[in-house]
Amino acid sequence: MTVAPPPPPDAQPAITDIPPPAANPAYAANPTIAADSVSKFFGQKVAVSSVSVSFGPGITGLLGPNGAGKTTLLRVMAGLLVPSEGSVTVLGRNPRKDHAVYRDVGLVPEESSLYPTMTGREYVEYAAILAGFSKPRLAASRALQEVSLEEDADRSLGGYSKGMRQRAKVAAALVHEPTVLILDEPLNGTDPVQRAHLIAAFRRLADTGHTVIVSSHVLQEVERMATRVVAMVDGRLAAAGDIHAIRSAMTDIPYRVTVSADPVRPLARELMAEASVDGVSIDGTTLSIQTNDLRALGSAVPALSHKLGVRLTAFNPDDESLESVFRYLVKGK
Amino acid sequence: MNAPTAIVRVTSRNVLGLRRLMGFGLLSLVPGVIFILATRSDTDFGKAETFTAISLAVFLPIVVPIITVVISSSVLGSERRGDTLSFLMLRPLSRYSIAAAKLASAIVASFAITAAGALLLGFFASLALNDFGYLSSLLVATLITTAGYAAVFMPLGYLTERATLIGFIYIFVWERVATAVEGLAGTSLFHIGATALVGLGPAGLDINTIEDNIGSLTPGAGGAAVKMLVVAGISILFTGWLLRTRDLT
Repeated sequence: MTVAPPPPPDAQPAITDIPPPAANPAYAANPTIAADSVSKFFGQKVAVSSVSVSFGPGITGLLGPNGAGKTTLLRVMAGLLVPSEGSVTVLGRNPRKDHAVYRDVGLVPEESSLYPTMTGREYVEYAAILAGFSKPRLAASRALQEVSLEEDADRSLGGYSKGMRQRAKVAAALVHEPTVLILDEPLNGTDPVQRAHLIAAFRRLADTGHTVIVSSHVLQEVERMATRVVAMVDGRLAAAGDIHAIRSAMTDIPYRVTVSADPVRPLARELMAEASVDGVSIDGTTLSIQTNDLRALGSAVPALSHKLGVRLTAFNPDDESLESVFRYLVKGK
Repeated sequence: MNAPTAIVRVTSRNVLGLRRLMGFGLLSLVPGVIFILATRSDTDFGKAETFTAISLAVFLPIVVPIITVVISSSVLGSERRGDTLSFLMLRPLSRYSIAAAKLASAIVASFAITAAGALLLGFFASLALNDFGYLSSLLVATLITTAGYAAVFMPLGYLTERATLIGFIYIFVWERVATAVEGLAGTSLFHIGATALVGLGPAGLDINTIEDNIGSLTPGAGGAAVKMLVVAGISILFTGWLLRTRDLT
């Protein structure tokens, strides 16, 4: 078991107490980015509290419910925010002081960061020029191909769908071929095909030794690409380690899923008989299911829908429930 | 194309939308049109007097500042609030070079419009008075005034969403006070541009009209240019410091 829930908040270890990297799953073996006791306060609000973690080559998922502090931690690590306490090093350098480090770092922020009057190609070319490329058009074409956006590259960004905008941001972050790529909810708004393209692109980067950090509040999304996961709750590190170990730790605890189907009652009746289901409530055409085994439920719902002729329109793990899972991990059983 | 040039190009394009270009373009041309209409049957003295009055009472203290304040405060402000500033901050560029490129963008975008007004007013005054010193002095004074307001309101736009409002209060309240109260002229950006106009302008500029509009001043384009360079330098250092030290939330 590599899941390592840290001690409760009031017993956070001092940096000197943290075991050496090999023994602590919060630390990567060959770190390229390291946060050392990082805290970030916005007035009275504590967004990140005493987080010590590092990231190395490969894809690491930064997981946590909305408001867990993922974006703040990523922005601190990217040098956009000054840590209130602690320090961050990227490739051994402080990104707040040594801006040359951005030759090797790319960030896809969660917010828009797009110029709506530009075309996709102009936007990515602009990123290439700012990175010092002598042939920005060539670099931009390569990056646009990487995210399958070449065909729409000469359209205005203002007319892009959300998924296309995400891909344009990824292309702009990739254009200078960074060693470290930080992606804040990069799959938001993308359709399944776009998602598959992006995940394949992130995997290719990871396979060639790049450090890729992907934040998400959807476990299944991270599961598809990352081998290592760092989980945050309420601004603290909740767990870190191998994704499968975290996944299995999460499957035997109460978990809530929302399912939309039509008709909904026959499905609810059948689900009540399933061993993995602890409870079902109906609200219109939506079922709220309490489960102790998410994986088993994930198999049972489509199978039963097929058997009953029920049209299944949505299967969504509940954010609140995810938060409770993380809290569960923090506390330990 | 290098990075600073690209920043100037992209920023100028972003802050000069079609509507802004049309609206401010028309505003900029109004003083020239007034001059043409008002001096059709004037004597040469009357024409010089009108040019001086329009330049020092309308164009340099109101038209140029309004255009420059609105454009300059959005150069960094709209990028910060539109979430595009992080795009720029994640590039391997010194914060001071970003600040300098942004100031250059503010000056270029604002001057592209204010220069059109200066050209119209200065050109017709020069034709009417047969002296192209009116045109050249007004262009230089417009550039210096534009640069001064841009240097002050670009960083202010980064700091607050109310930079434009503060700018209008400064233009319509403080600068009037600074004109009326002796000793406060040093706090007026428009006065620096005016000293350049009077210093470079032809002898035909009417001294009584000058004193009526801006009080007493020491003419001199060199001094005005040096003052604006100092203001621009401080602006770059201050903005670079802001970009280095403040959170980009």
